[in-house]
Amino acid sequence: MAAKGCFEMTTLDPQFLRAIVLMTDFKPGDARRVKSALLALAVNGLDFTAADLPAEIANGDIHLAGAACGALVSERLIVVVDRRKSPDPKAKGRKLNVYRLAMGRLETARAWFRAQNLTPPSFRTNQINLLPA
Amino acid sequence: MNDELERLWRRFYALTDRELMRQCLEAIARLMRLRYGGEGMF
Repeated sequence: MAAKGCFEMTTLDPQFLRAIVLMTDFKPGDARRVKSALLALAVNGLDFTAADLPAEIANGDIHLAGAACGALVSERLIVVVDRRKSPDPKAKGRKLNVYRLAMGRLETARAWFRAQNLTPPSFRTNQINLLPA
Repeated sequence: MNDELERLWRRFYALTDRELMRQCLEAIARLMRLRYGGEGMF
């Protein structure tokens, strides 16, 4: 057990975390683009699922959006707030996690965008851009 | 086409309305589908 104040391990399955690392390492551009788009939804106060991102944005990799959500959860930037049926008929009613920006993590999310050399989005303003900083 | 893609991404990150963001993502997706050769992309 972690000592008080130490980083607590994520509860995500280790195999899923491994898949996230593989995708981040072998498809860094796609992973970054997908995570940025999802985090932009979160920073604007919107709830979202992995299905909110068209597959083309991940270059057709239908697993990347889910992995990106897992990565953002493991970074404690977003949290699961609900479960919702997938809009994809092929999913046959399979439920998806609904995510939201984690409480008190807006500044960390902005720091995340800065760490990508991107100007961080402002929260509910029209001053958002993602030009290189 | 890359300029257009970049313009759309900038627009996406400037939006705050969920429906407009969704429409912008769809537009980006259509452009990427064209860019990567349509059906062959998958």
